[in-house]
Amino acid sequence: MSKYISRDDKNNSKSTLLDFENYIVDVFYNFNSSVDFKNRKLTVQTNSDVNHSKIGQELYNEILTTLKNELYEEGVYKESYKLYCDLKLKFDTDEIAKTYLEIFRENVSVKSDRNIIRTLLNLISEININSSILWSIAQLALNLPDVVSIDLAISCFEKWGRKENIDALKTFKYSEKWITDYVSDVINYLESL
Amino acid sequence: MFYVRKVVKSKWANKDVSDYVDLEADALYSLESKNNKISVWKIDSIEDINKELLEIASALNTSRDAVSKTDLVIYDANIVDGAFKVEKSPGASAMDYLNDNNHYDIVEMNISHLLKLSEMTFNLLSDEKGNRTKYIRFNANVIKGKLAKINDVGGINLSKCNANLKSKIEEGF
Repeated sequence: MSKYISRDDKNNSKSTLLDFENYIVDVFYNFNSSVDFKNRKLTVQTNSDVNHSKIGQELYNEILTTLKNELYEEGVYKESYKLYCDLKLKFDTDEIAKTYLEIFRENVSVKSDRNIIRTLLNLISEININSSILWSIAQLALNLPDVVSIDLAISCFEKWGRKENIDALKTFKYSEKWITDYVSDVINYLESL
Repeated sequence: MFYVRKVVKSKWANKDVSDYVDLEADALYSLESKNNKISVWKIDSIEDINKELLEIASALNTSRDAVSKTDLVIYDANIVDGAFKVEKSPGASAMDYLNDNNHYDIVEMNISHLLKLSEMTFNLLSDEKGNRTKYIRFNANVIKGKLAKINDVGGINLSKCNANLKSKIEEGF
């Protein structure tokens, strides 16, 4: 199975949050078994059924609260990054990435607080590990109806600097020139590596 | 002549917003004042715009932990000088020659000034034609390359650099 979530090339960014919710539920049902979402009850608005078995509920809540309260700045390591560095000493990076994916899934539809998703994307852009889970978060974010998140997602691919991500960017379509210019520049950069 | 300032383009270029007052309030973080001053960098000629702007974008990254894409909004200096009080002041980057020669502050800012600057910024950043005299983006990889070159000729005062970035520059990214 491809590391990437398959998608229709005709798909542009989802125009409404409802479109995106439907899309993301579909994606998670079909997600690669490495994340093992198949055995969970999948909804985008509840977290009552999520089992944070490795990271634990307390740390999960701490990560979430940090992301919620942080005013992210690109290139600046704030509390969420320091927390990641602490977590890295105790947990496998895949487990941390899975937790970030869960946070993304549970908060992506919270229109009133987009900061969690934006801060999460900014955080993972600074985490350069070979993780298809993080790559998938960025790819999912390319479909959000929020240009700030989309811009941050593209930035993830640029900062990670991995040729494996070129296909994800090549299927991305958007109506605004400055965003498509940025994607083209990042694709050219990745192809030059 | 032009003044430039680092902004977050995506927060100012929402295609669903036609008037700057409808932008999300967090966009104003790009115009954050300190002691009622807003930091800007001056460039002399549009002919040198890419060279000078890339140096300024690189300088702005020296206070950060990691290099990131950097958006600069480009204001016409005549318009800014006519609307606000601008004073030369030392910059705080790790590139001393830019700090000494190119850094200015818009001073005595009040909320009315901030609204006026917000409107100017919105008009420049929402230009869909991607006019490079109004706005420019430098990608992280371009800035990394520039920082490495500037460091090779001793142009970066590493003692003023963010510690995390300093080690990355010294390791050649």
